Amino acid sequence: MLGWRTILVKCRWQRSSIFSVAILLWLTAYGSAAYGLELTMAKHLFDIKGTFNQPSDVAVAKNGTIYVVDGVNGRIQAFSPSGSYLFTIGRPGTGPGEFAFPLGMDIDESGRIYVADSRNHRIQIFTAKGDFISEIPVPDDNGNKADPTDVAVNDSGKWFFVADNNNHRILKFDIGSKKLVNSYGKPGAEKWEFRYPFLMHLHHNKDLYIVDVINTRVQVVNTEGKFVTFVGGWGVEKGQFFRPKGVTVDKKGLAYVSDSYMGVIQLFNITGTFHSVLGDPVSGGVRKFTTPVGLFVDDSMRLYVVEMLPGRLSVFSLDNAQ
Amino acid sequence: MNRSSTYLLFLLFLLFSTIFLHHTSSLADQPPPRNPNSAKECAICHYRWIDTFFIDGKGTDLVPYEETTKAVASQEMCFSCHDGSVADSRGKVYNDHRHPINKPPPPGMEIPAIFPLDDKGNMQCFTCHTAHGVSSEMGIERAVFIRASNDNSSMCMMCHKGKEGGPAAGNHPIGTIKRPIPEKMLSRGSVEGSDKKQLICQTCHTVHGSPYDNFLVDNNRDSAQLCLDCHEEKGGVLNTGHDLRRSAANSKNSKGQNPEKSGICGACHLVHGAKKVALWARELPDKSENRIQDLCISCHNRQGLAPEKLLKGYAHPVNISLKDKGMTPDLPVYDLKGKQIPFKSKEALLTCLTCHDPHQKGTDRQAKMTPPSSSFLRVEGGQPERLCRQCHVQQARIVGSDHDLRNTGPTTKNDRGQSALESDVCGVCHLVHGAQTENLWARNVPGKSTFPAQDLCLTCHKSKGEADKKVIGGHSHPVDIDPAKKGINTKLPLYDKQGKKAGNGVIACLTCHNPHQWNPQKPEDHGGNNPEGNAKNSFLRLEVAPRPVLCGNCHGAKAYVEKTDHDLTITAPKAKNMQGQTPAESGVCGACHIIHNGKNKVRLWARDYGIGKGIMDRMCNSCHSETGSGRNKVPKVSTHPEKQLIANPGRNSKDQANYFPLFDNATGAFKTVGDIACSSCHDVHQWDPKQASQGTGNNLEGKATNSFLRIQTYNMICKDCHGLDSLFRFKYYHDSKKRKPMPAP
Repeated sequence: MLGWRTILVKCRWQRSSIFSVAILLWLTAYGSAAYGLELTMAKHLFDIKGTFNQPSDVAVAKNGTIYVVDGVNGRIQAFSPSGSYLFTIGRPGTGPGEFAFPLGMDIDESGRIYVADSRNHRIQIFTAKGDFISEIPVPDDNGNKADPTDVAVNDSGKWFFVADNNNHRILKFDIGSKKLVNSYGKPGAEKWEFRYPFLMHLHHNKDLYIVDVINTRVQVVNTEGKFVTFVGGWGVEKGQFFRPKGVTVDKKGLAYVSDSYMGVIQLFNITGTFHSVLGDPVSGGVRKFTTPVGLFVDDSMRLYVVEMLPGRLSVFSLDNAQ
Repeated sequence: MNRSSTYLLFLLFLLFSTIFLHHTSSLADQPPPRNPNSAKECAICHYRWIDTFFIDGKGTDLVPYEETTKAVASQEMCFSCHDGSVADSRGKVYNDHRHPINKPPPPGMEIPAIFPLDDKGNMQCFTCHTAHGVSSEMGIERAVFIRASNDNSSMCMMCHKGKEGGPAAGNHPIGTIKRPIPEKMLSRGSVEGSDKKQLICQTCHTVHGSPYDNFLVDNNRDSAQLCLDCHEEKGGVLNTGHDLRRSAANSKNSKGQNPEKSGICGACHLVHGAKKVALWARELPDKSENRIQDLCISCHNRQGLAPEKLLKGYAHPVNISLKDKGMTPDLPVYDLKGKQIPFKSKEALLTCLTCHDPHQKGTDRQAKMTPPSSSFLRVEGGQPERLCRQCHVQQARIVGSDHDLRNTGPTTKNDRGQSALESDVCGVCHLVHGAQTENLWARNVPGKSTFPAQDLCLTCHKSKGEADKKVIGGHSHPVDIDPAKKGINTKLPLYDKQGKKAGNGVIACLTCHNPHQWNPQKPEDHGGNNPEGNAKNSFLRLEVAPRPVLCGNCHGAKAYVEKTDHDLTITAPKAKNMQGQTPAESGVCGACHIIHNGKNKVRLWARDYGIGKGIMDRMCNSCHSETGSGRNKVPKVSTHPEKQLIANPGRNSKDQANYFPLFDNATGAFKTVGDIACSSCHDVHQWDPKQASQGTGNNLEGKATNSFLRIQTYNMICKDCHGLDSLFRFKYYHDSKKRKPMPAP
């Protein structure tokens, strides 16, 4: 089972209490949502702030090194697992190893870093230490400049997907040949249609979770090009999105989706159904964020949340959460 | 009932009521019809129109209830798309400086009703923006989603009133300008109006994305790069004395800003809220004679920022028309209001800015000259003389001559201790500012001078002076005399006791000499390397050789000697005067008269006197002797009986036809009673008494009607005393063949 548990708010679970069961049933039928919201408590570990200007995404290597896209500063910053500054990759510019407002990133099993260098219309690849390896240009779409906002790489680093935000499509590249392998999607609200695909997560080299911002959903497709499911939908109720931005999937298959306007992170089951909302064990309520965007959950069940406007990376522990 | 039964009944009640109430509720309270798709398209921005808020009137587990208000474009809402997820405005809108939000408009600013404020009266994104904004002539990339057309910044000025009107309103000009908007500004986000050269608010200000003060497209603090983007030619002011960051770091402009905050340009000029002259940023007097001078004097005064650069003493005149003086410099001229106007305009005047460029034009010049020695003069190549010559064209001919002290007196220094190499050729003799005398002389003049015009020359041409090899001494042409009193009319300049030119003045050195031009006939002749001069050059104002133009200007009748037998250039070209000059070198006058440093006082005679009793005759005999150049014209007998008490009253006026001068034998002075000398009967400067003109150039044999005789000589004079005996006596005195022994009395 999970290393954390789901609890019920405002109600103490007493297995032997028939009275409590009755109350629960009554509230299920009539009570407001506040009395029936499932929370996943996350223990706050530490923050990294004061060094970013509107950061957007985060990725964590197997060795625990934390990489944060510090896009307006035109760089990637690396930190130790405890949050100590390690080094910086890149600077503003257009040359190799330089960035123009990058947004998303990913990391493969060997630790290589993939950055969606948005306004340079390319993906750049670096070693774990930040040495430039190569760049792969993202082609125009019928004359419209590519707008790569995120990259999702397979574990072995053979290929990756790119979200072409402005052109509402998903592109697949072969890294070895640097060639575009396939292009998926078009503008729209149906399956395999997008309105501003943004950040992504590739789960187990198979399922690609794509935040579809204006469609207010996460669309899941697989590497075989087949539609899997939608996660979430339009609205401000639980399981709904107003401005979904970031997505990540933990090792058990639970998907985490940030909503930058509502300031919450919601969890969904692998089938796409609502699971819970990230909670604050101190207040006992929903944990609120300010413009949360990029997310990452590492193998040790640490959740990394990037808040763009405050310029902050927050790290939480999902182990033993109440 | 026992406790278990009670629980069971209560449980049944809950189940019943749950089923029953749920059913009745569904029937009685049907939710209103919803249209999720169309509602979403609006509510994607109109957050408050989401059904949960707008219809149900409640919040959710995730977010609180949101009241419906009119405008939705809050910062948070805008950023929810402009964070890169739909559009990326992170760098431009949400980075660094931008138009303020979450603040009320400045006091006194009237915000038109079409620009809503939030409930607290603060500006928000929606104050200017709406997703339903008007289209704009400037294109969707620039003006979409704004509430009014911003064509040529028209929307900006709906709130920011009073920023137009140009300098007359104390603002930087907007509208079509002369120069194009520089590409480097456009690349930084600067926007030009519908015309390519149209300056609008957004040319300098960018509402979003500027890291600089006042949303400027470039930094205008410190080195004021924004101003210099356009006004590149003003960049020479950087690091000069007029860079107040350097020279007056604590000074403040009229907005209370120090130079670092205002930027180097803002220390003196304001783009908005400036004075109407030159957008001046400092206090100016209410009334003024000349506004351009006011700008300078606003700092260069005793209480100002530059008291050490006061305009004290005598200075070059300003507020004068150069055109009226016949000067045509390639320099800017201004009207009294301080506006630069065309040179030909009637109101065009020379002002401070005519000679000074307070911004020190040109980087090349800046590299060559380190302020303050440059004095912000409008010169290329660091030579002030090049500026002076713009107006003083003739005076510039001094360059390369003996009076160019860079060559002939490099150690000579002016009153400021500047050598010619430091002050340049003009400055070593003239101070444009701070001179002690009105003629701007740069050298110390004796305090009790009686004749300043002469003293200027004597500051160098004196014993132990810089020009002590050219000191005036011995017997020289008189100065400090009024030619009018001598019956002389001249076009040469005369000078008053203050050293200024005056028509009724007296003769000074400068009457005959032009110290700025070595050769009066050849302006391009600078004399070479410290040459010995002669009558053709020597800074003479007019030529003396080969024609006696200069001397003839005063001594008009004497100039008739030219091309007569007394013109030694013709009759004795190899003869030399006492200074060893041939007539060609000395000129026709100089062959007989030495102007400076002569040995002989009387008539400044240039030759050794000949024999004879009277000095006048001795001068004639210096040539008309057996070994002289006039040896062919030596009268055998040339003396009139002496001590006859001959008187000439009535005949002693030069203007009269019967002029018959008598001379003092010792001094040559005119007398009314004395002995007859050669010059009593001969006018040595005029061959034919009836022909007031120069000679023919031919060595003529004379007769009684010419031969340098005075007109009355053969006509009247002799007869006056000797009656019918005159002819006999004349021949007796001048023709040995006719001389016979005198009959015994």
